[in-house]
Amino acid sequence: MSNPDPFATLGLAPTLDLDLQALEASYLAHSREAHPDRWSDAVRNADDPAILAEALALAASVNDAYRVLKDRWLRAGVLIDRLDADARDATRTLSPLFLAEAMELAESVAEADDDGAPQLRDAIADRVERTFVAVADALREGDARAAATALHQSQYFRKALADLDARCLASGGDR
Amino acid sequence: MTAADSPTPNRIVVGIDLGTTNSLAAVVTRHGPRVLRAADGEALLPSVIAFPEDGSTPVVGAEAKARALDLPTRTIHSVKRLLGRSRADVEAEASRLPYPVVPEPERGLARIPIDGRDWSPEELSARVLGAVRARAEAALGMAVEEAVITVPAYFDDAQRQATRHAAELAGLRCLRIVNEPTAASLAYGIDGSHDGTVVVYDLGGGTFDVSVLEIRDGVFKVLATAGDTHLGGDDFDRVIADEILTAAGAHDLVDDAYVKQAIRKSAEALKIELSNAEGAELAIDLGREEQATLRLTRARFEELIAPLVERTIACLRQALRDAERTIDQIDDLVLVGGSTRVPLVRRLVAEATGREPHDGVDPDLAVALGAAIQADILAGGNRNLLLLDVIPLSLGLETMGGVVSKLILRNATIPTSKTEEFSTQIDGQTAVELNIYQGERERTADCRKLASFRLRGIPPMPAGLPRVAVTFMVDADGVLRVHAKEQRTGIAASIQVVPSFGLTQDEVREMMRASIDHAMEDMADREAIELRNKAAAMVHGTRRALELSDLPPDQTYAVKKATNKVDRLLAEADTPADELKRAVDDLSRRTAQIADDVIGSAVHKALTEPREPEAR
Repeated sequence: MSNPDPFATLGLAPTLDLDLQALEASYLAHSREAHPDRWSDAVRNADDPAILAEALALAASVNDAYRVLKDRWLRAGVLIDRLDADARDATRTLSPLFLAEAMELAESVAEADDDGAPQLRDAIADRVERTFVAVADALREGDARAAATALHQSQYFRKALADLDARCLASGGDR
Repeated sequence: MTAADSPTPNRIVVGIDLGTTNSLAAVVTRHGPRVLRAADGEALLPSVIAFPEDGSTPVVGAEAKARALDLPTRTIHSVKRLLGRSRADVEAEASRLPYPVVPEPERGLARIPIDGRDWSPEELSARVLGAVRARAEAALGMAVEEAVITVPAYFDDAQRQATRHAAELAGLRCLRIVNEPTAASLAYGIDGSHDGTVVVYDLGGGTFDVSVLEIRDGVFKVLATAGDTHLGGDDFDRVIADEILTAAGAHDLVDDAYVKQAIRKSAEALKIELSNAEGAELAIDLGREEQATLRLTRARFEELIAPLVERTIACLRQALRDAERTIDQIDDLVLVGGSTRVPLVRRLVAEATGREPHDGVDPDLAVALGAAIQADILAGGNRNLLLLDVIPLSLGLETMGGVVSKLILRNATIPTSKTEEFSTQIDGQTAVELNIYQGERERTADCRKLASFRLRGIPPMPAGLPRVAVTFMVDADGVLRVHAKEQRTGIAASIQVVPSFGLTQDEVREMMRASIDHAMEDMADREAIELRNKAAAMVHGTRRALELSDLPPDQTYAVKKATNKVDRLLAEADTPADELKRAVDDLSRRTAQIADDVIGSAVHKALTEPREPEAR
């Protein structure tokens, strides 16, 4: 889509293994330039609404780039798009075998009782991590489709994890 | 004010805390932020407007507050609770107000009738802002035309817009809307000695906010915010008022405006007394030489307000979760708002955060002082601070079947934007209507509808061909702006915004907590709706694809059969989800090979796309 490359927006080298401190520093440096608080009166009082809209879009792009890059999954998505813009669309259909497994997982989350939940959580968290390693490996090898497939698959595991946590929260108790 | 105290020359931008109960202004001087006081030294201006019976100019402030008993239906307080609200939204509290609140005929917005003229909450707030402005001008000895105005962090789009309109009506240019807890954090952290993770708990007269911030090297970054725009000290007064009515045996008098004002006044006095003493007494004059006495202990008072305070604690926990911070990571706790003087509030918040409240901040003045600091930043007087705030509630679009698809998630740093592409469903369609919602739940019925956007001027093309890119932009005031462009032709589609405030306040209040309580129910509902949507789209898409394709007859037959089966199951309202799912999966397998060739990637995408799990 028309959204600019977040790595370019923040002037960072595109890598999954991003130095989060460098990200933070770059984000703040760019914010000090682009944030509406820092606009000159010329921009703020501009008669041309296009000038204001452009300044606002730039400020938003800095915040949005930071938000995307801070999240390793969103970051992976950006890197896949950079390798092959069609990879994510082309790999949306997951194998029936995987879908069956994901369904089974969703069922076990729905049925988990308080005793079984911690163990199930560990197991799903492990799947999430392994899937991330698969994304990272595929990206390293430049295989955008394999990375995209693993990223799609991760959504099921991450959703299962979020659902399980939401359930634990809903059934009372602060973790 | 002495010469050394004079503000930065050239330009005066004041910070204004427009409160439910009190309002005040502050400005940054060479010696730091200072409150602008009245000649008698008073900082707080009661946010009360009284309309004299002779029709002369309404009075504002302490003078108005003093007239509450002699002009019970003409003395307006707590107008902030009506800002950006419809009459239906405020139903629960309107019955308790001594003055009448009526719906405006067009959209049912709240209006206050005085002598045959309906006043909007914006106009009444403008009166308060005007009085604050006059006081600031007297203190500074110069004209004030620009201001930064604070709002509860949890104010939605409509309430923020209403605040901006009130400033406009008062002849003030509102340079920025700032969230109250964020402003308070500026007053707290301005001296640079408080770097770390800070919780700001702001319980005012009518609203509650809690924000978690990270302060480091002059950067104030809001990590998360939560709150309730209809919870505050007024509600504490209300529970005491109920006790008074019970003691007086006078529930039948509750419709009398004078009695309502008198009880409200007594309740407030009792509350303040109970914050300092273990018990308080009230003699109630029942008329005809009769008296009743109410003895209220602090323990009873605390029992009465505990459920209200617990609600704020739940918000606090939510904010910490959203900020991905644990109690151990909190470095400091800042209490703001007059209601944090209530001992139970202090105790429960300290328990929930494991921190004793920081005592270097005046809970009544911190918000105005912080607004002054933000004003100074905007006036160019301070280049060292950077304030990064967030949007309190998610924004989403209505999709098929009454589901809200989130565009911008709560706690996203503002400004923020999201661009989405839309198309048409009918050949030659030139307009698309988008309904935008604010809230955390999955169903439109559980969120607050902000507005309808009608995209017009889309070039007539076959269905599905136009690609209209709509950009939703939330500016630094937390207010939404929308623009649209048709991608193929580059034609800007015009947008007509129809704001609407359709929900009751209870629903808004419930949104956050309910989003947790109902997480399971929502999930099942949403999955069922999504499955039906997916099935309907597949039937439609496959039939169109079959018309265009030249599949061998045996395959065409098999696909048709599978399509008809899904269609038949859809027609029955009570088809079990798993049966529909099996039929959809079967159809999915059979159409897999034609989807890419014929239907095109868009439809294929719509058929198979799994949803992103929501960020937490």
